[in-house]
Amino acid sequence: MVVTFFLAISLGGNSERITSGLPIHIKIPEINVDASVGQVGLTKEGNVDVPSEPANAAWYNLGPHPGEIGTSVIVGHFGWKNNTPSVFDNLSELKKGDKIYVEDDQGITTTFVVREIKTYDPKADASDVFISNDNKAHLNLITCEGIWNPKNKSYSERLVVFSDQE
Amino acid sequence: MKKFNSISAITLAVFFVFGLTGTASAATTPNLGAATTYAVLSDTFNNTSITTTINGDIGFTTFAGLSPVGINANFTPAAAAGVAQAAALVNLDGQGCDFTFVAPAVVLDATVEHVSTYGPGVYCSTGAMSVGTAGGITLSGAGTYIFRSGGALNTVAGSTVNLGPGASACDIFWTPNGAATFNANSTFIGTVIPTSQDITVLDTTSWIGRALTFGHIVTIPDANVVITAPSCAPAPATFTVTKVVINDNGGTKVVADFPLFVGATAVVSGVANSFVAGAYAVTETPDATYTQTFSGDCDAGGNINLVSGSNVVCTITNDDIAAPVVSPNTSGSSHQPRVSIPTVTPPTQGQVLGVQTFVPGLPNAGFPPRGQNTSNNTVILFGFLALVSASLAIVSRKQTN
Repeated sequence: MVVTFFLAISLGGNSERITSGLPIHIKIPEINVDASVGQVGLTKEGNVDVPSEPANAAWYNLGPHPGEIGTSVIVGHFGWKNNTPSVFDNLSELKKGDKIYVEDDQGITTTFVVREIKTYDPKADASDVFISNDNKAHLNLITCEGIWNPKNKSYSERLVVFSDQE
Repeated sequence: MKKFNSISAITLAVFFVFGLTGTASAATTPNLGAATTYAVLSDTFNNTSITTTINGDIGFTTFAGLSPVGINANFTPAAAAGVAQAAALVNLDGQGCDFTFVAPAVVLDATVEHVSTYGPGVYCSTGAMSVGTAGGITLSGAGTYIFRSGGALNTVAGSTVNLGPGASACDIFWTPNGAATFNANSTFIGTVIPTSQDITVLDTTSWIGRALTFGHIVTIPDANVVITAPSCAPAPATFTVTKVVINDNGGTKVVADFPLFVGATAVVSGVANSFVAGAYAVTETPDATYTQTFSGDCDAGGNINLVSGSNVVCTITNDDIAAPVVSPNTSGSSHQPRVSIPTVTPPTQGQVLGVQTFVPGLPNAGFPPRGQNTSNNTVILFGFLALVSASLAIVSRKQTN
């Protein structure tokens, strides 16, 4: 199974495709992430929505597919729910050069390489998280970080991992 | 009647002078392509004299007689030369007549409309066309000359066709709808392409031009004939460079902000230009805040090899890479849904495109940290215990009462 998975990686992840399938799975071996990927849109406040379950990630479906030119975004939770940890609890442990694998519904796996990790204020201008203009394919992972505020049920920061298609 | 004739003659003379030499003709020189280098192109080439001189390629499938002298080569006519000849004839016959002679058969230096000097233009006759001995004709002025005979083309013995100022043997064409015969001691200039007929060149004819009749016969039965193909610059290529500017990230540049060049020549977006065949680099005055992409017939680096007679295009697209514009805050949030709304589609020549971009807010993707988390089971357990405690308290109070 492992052999099959990495063979798919080697065949599918070396160039930006014009169109890509829908992302359905994400693997980040460095932090033991192996999760299903759903889809989210926007909240009524205009923020990117989040998956309902802590163990799942979700692709922001108003942006490019992973592997398409531009910046695609996958969101995952941080924290605990029903004694279950969240998919991106350890996202901050990623380092530059670590790899992220996204499989689409066509069975193609696209590989991304971590370039940078940044934290944002929840209200910060996030233009650079969602927009790129270098005609290359990027994937950014977003989760929460910082201090939990039980009153507004939110953490104090947002963590963004920037990665580039290999 | 005499008055009428005088007026007619004046009218004709005025028309002839101003219609042909007083205004620019629309006649154009076709691209001879692979036939350019041929002095003789034929199916059968008959040459009976060792004194025949051919300077230029000679093409035939059947040869009879003696080999000509001169600087020549290429004795096997490439099919491409025949195709080029046919294409040139179509081009020439497709150009409208600037002047049609009244007489069906016309001697060019002895017509009612005759002036000794012909300007550039397309001259047509319904019958045969010949060059006589009344002084010959002179072709004067820069431009293309096309003599389209409705029948044969003949030169009278001793006749002359002369080049005047500005005229070039490269731009003179004769397209008879019949055979072409050059009688003795003729001096002739121009490329002859009959419509499916033969060409015969007699004694001591001196001809700067080409005898192109691929599929038919060229005969040189007498001595001292000289045919020399002119050395002509290749037909230019037509090249159009188009600029497209995309402002989808707040950029404000327009087409005119990116001066365009083909080699060292400045060009205007969307305007066709003529260039001598060869390799060129398309460049522009760059702007660091815009990406640059080449498309069309150029390669990715903007290089192109212009082929003689070709008509090609190259497009440079500049897309702004400046900081994106975030729309005004209208909902109390600093971010808006990201929606791209093209305001002009599809791209057209030299247009600036506008796209408005919105950026969403960052998600709230957090559950409480471990230890501050209250699971559903916990809630149910504590609720159940609270309910039991309350029930026990009520029962105890009743028993006390």
